[in-house]
Amino acid sequence: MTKNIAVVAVGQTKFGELWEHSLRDIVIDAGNSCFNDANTQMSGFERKIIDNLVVGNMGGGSFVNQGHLGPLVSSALGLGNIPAVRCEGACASSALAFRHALHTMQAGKSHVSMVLGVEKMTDVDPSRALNILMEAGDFESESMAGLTFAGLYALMARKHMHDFGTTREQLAMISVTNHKNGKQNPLAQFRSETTVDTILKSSMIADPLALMDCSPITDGGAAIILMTEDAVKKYAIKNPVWIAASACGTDNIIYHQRKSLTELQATLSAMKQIKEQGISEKDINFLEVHDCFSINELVALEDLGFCKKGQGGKFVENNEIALNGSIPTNTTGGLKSIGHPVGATGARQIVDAAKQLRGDSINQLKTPQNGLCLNIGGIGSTAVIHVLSKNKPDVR
Amino acid sequence: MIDGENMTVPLYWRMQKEKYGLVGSNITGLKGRIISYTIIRAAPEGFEAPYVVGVVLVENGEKLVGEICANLPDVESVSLIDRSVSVVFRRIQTHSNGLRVYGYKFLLE
Repeated sequence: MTKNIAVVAVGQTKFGELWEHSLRDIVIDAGNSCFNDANTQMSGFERKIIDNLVVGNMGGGSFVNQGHLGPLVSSALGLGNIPAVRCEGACASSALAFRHALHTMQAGKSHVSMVLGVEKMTDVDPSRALNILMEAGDFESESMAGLTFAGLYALMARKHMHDFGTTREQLAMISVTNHKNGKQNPLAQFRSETTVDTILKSSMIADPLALMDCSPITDGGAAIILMTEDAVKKYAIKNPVWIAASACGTDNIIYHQRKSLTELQATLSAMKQIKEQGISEKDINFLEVHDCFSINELVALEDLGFCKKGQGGKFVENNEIALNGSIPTNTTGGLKSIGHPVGATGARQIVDAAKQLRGDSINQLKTPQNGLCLNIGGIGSTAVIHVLSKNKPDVR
Repeated sequence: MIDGENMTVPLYWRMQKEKYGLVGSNITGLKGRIISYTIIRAAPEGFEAPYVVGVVLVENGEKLVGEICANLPDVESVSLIDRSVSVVFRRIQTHSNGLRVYGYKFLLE
């Protein structure tokens, strides 16, 4: 890090089908949750100390006919006339928003920033939601061929199964693990455990991916307050979580034109950048990865370097991703159990990783030092990685 | 509303030359090989499930994505990977405003 920045407060709404709540209601709930947390982390917190706002949102315009979310969120939260902007990078929108806030602070333009990810998805019919989500793919080729995102990831799953012998059972074990972790999460959309058999018997969405391989359509929001090191000292923050590394990679938005259908070059690029910042997979104690579909978590484990390409199925089968495994993954339930309000997921991952490092996770690991969050936009067209740490990094 | 219905005809019209092979370069008749495929069972607006979509490596070296015309029971019982196809010109959608959208699909050899 060129300048140390810390996560000092986090908050999240209940994730689910929030029929009674508008996008604005969700923003206010997420903001208040974060402000309440800020009050536990410092004495005399006032929202007027926030001098910059970045909103992560994918489809406000298409889902609820609402754009221009910077000023909508700043006014809804009573933040005054501060700079406010919306970041869009499909399902990676709020990790990009977090990265944007980080850069603004490192550039000296903000001392206390807020990042808020939000998505209101259930005000449209499910088939309309599929069309809107396909805005993250290539309209002229993929959408016009009748592909959905489940369809795109099914192409990846089919190819992975063909090339490496990965099985539907191994993919199902990912959902089983995430549901097991999410059972303890009061904010999760689905708090029930499931079995491999249930997943295999669930209805097909896009072969070979069944319903229980897919994350749901979800309403929800998550919020984070960031501070510079000087501000952390000034406000005597009790339990800051430091940003140890940040990276973003991109790839051809047209999935089928890529060289490989079974690895995400955007993730490889982002992880290479993380290593250039002095952190390798060996330094990581737990993961928050983007299991929008089970195959994406499996490919993430490979692309991040936790197992070799093609070995993800065996890695999962050996229980390495469980809470007591070699790399606990999605310790609070992942997208599958918690839900996937697309523009809020990246922020939610950081919220849960920060809690894990502060020691107040619902599934608390024993003294983790570093956690890695991977937020994916589209089918790996954008990959954003943040490494959060209990320890303050050396400023380079 | 089919996605794109609220947009004007030129969205589709301007792709005639490059994409549909109606004018200039003609991709129909080309042979190819299926790299991966799926059966879409939950369709977006404007499409009626189930149908098969695949990625095809065409003999000119390009990769294309599109619907594979096939009997579903056949697809469910046998893998289509590495199967040969030919590229054919087909209607993709008809919008409620009467606009017919054309493109290519794949026929199993």
